[in-house]
Amino acid sequence: MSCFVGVRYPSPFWRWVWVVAFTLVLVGSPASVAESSPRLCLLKSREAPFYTEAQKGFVEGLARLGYPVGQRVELEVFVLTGTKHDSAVLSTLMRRQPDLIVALGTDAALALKNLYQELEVERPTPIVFALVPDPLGLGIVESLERSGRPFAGGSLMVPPAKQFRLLRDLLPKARRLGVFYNQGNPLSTRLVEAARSEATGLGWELHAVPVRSSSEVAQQLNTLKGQVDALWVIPDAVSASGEGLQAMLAFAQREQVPIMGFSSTLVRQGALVALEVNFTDQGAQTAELAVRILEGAQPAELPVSPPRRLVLSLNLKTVRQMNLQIPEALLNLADEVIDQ
Amino acid sequence: MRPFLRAPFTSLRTGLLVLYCVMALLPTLLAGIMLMLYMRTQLDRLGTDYQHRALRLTETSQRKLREASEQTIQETFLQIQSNQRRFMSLHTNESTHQQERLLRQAFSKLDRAVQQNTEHTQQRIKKRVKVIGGSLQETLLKQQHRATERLTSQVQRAIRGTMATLVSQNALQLTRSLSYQVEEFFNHAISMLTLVAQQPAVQTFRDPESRWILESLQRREPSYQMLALLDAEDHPKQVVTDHPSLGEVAKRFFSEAGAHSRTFQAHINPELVLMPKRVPADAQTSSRYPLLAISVPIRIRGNKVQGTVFALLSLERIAHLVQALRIGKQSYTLLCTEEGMILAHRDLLKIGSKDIEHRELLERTLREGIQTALEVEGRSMLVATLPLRLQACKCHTLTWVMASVQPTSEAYALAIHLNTELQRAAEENNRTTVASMQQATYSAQEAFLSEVETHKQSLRVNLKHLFTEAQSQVRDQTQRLARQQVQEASRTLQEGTKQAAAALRTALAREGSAEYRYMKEALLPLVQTVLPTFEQRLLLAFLLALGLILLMSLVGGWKINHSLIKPIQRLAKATHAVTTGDLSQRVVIPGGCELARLAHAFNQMVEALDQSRRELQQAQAQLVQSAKMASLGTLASGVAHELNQPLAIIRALAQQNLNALKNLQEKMASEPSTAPDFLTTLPEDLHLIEQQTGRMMRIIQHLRTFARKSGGEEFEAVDLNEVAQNALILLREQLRNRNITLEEHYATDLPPVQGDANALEQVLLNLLTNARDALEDRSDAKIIITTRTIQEGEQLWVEVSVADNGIGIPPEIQSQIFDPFFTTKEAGKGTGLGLSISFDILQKHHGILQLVSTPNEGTTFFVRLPASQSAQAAA
Repeated sequence: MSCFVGVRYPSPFWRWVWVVAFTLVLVGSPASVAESSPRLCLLKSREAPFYTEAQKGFVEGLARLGYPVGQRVELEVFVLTGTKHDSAVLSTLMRRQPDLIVALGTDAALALKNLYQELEVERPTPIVFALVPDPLGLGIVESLERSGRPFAGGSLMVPPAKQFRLLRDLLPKARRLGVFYNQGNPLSTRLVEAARSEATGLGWELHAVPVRSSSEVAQQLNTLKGQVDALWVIPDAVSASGEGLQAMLAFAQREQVPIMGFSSTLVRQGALVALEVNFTDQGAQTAELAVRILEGAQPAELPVSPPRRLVLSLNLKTVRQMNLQIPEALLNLADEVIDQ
Repeated sequence: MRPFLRAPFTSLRTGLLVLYCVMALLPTLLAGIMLMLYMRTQLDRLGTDYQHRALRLTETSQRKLREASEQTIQETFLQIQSNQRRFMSLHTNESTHQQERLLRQAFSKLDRAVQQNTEHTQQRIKKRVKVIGGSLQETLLKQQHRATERLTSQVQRAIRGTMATLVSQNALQLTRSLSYQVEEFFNHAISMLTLVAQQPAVQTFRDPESRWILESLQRREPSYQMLALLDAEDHPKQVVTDHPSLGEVAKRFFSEAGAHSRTFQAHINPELVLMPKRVPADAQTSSRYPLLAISVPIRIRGNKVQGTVFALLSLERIAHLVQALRIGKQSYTLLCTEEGMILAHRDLLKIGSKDIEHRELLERTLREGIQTALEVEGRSMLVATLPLRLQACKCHTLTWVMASVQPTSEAYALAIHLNTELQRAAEENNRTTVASMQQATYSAQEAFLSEVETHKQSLRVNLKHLFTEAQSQVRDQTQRLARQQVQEASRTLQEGTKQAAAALRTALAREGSAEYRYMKEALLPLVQTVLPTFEQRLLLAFLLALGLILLMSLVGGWKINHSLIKPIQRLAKATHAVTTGDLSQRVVIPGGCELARLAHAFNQMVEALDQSRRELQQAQAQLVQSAKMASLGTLASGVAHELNQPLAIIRALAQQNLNALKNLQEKMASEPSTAPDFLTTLPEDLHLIEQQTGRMMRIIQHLRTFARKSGGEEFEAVDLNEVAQNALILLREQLRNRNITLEEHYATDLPPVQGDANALEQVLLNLLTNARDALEDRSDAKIIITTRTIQEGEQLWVEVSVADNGIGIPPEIQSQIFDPFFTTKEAGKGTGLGLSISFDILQKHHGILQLVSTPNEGTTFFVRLPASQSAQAAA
């Protein structure tokens, strides 16, 4: 009888060995599921060297934090044109259904904010912004301590103490400083408040002129004629843009009043000096924020992070025009010297 | 009419009587003759028939008797034969059955024995095979189970081991790379500070320049949260920081930093510094990170220590480095110091705190090196901890611990997967083994059983075959023996029976022939005596019946004439009288028969007819009057217009004359000599006034005559020309106002007609009004009135025709226009009675109203009246 069975079927033990071997082969093969990596979209306000720098810093920062682009994250870059085609750019971006959007510059952040308001999306894609001088004034965030919106990002506000120290080193004789600020912007107000106490500490006079519009700056400038030794331009969406800025630059040249600005762009336009953020580092900082959000942090809970690395820019031409005496050592230590 | 009606009634009476008599007598006569003839032939035939039948009856009875006797003989013979046969076969069958029974018993015993034997064998085989199969299966399963368990545990152990090794190796590798990077970071910081220390401005502590250098370093690398230059006495000469409080915190490190500087050594203090105060406003995220005090000596030309460059370095960069180290997707890495302060963590809020989850593990790691552990906090995690020893500077080694935390579900994903696969495979194998064992057992059983079964079957077949053979042999022999005996017995019996039958037949034949002869001779004379007497009696009865019928028909005829024909004649007479208009006729028939009831109904009918005629006459008179009033109403406006104009003229003339007269009086008063000119025109005017007034009077006079109710049927001789002209008096002016041309053709020698002039005028007025309305809005409107005489056979007619060239009357409504209340005019304009009334009037005058109409060409109405008797006679 046993013979009868044995002839028909192979020995169970060997069958077993085969089954186990086959299973091992199956399991050993790369059966792990290829998970889809998060998709990031980067929106630039336009093509500009500093945006490119920030983008580079962002990509490097991602890689440093364990998210190399192309391996653990996908990154797609969109650029606004400032024309009517922008809506198409935005809709293409939204159609990609990114896990996170990076907005570089005021225009990009503002466009996304408006888009979110229009769409009234229930669960908006988190946005990390960078190189936005006045996020509070633009209404992108509710406060600096807590964003309160799907927007998280870094500010460009360099502490006034640092700026004033630099100005004092550059212009030791300057005692009166004029500044225009938008009264309706709490950020500007707070900055001016801090600056006021700082100025008092230095024994300076701070002429802080509240304005409501850019055009008001031009009118108010005349009141400062002969009253100030230097003008301080702060990143304020109202006072430091368009007409107001042009008026200030013209005033500076006319009245031989040097300007301390907040960006190297301003220095290129004729301001004497600016202490601004390092764009590459800003990009890296943005990457850190992005990673935190990707790993579960809520953008609305995050504070607006202050700048880290700074860049000191000086305009030699302005120095010559105004016939200023700048210490040689300071000139040598400047990060960017513009002479044109 | 009367003679025509009477003739059929007289002939009816006589005809009815003649017919009645003929109908009663002729059939009786014919029937009598026919009956006589028929009876005669029938009797003849009956006699012969009776004779024949009696003979045939005798013959038949004789034959039947013969047949019956023969049949009885035959039956008796057959019965004897069958009895004999039955007895024989019974005897034979019994013996056969007995033998068969014995045979069958023997064979069934044999069969049962075979069956029992087979069943027993089969059961034993089944039992044995099952027992063997079961034990085999059990052994196999047990072996398999043991093998599976062994394999599973081996595989699991192997995988766990591999995983642990893998995790620890991975962690080791991570630690190695991390410690390298951290050391690099420190080296970089020290070399940066060394570079600062080598700056001439720093070496001489020159005021703004040395500060600028520190500031620009901090600007470029914000990890230096605080930078200071210490002089040889460890006093700070320059402090650069965004957080002034850090200066205070750093003071306690100055002396130690200075001490190391004096031995020409850079120094990293293992003690970590936390930002003294976390400012909520302007919260710097980087302020969460712990700080490390670093110092390098300021040396001039390498041998003289001038002071120290001191820095508090933020560990943010290191935290980022740690954050980037990960094994799996859900894993994270944390870094802490020997004391347990967290330097890097996925959760930023935990950085800088000492609240560490894996304290015990940490201590063990520091003692014994790499550790792995399973922790369950909500879900099971695999934690690997490793010490990280860093050569920070020449005199100090920093000992930190790195922990890699990974959910076990992720870490052991492979092991778990493999395990489940193994389990599945083992189960599958067990299932197949059991199934195949069962299959094998079953098929073995089947094979054995089928073999035994075939054996049994063949045995049984053989037995059955033997049995049938024996049975057939026994039956054959018994039957042959029985058949011989039966044949012999039947032969002797048949012969005896045949002899008896022959004797019986001869006796019967003799008796039958004698009886037949007697019957034939006695019957014939009897028939011949009966026949003549029967004929005489029949003739007498027939004549008597004929006389009786004649008498009865005469009485019936008189009765019919009296009670049926006479009353009908009376009824007919009365009906004729009613037809001619005499409604006073009544018929009385006595009795309650149908005719009496008919007479009563007739009387009622005539009465009702009389009543309705009276009502009709009244209604007609009213209708004529109302139609007249209606036409008068339509005429009124025209009359008013007509009267208005002459009156206006009269008034104007009167005024003129009054003025003239006044002037004349004045003139006459002043200048009596001047002759008044107007006196010549005055008579003319006055004449005109008189003329117009006359016309007015005529119109009014006519209106009054017309409006007067016609006074019944008193006809008089009327001239139709006059009637037509009178009608035109009322309408002429209206027709002129509507631009309708009127043509009048009056025959000069028109004979008068008998009639009512007013009624006839109304007829013409109706026709003219219709013509006027049909010509509405037509430019060449025209109405032609013609009178003429027509001779038609002996009858002389007077005809008036009114023709218009209007829209015409469509053929489909021509038949309806004489119906009362039919109108095509709009509501309120016509009554729809005009033509209907005209038709009635003409009927009363025995006249005719006809029309010829062609659509869009016009309509002509013809009024035809018989000329008066005198005119007829003249013609």
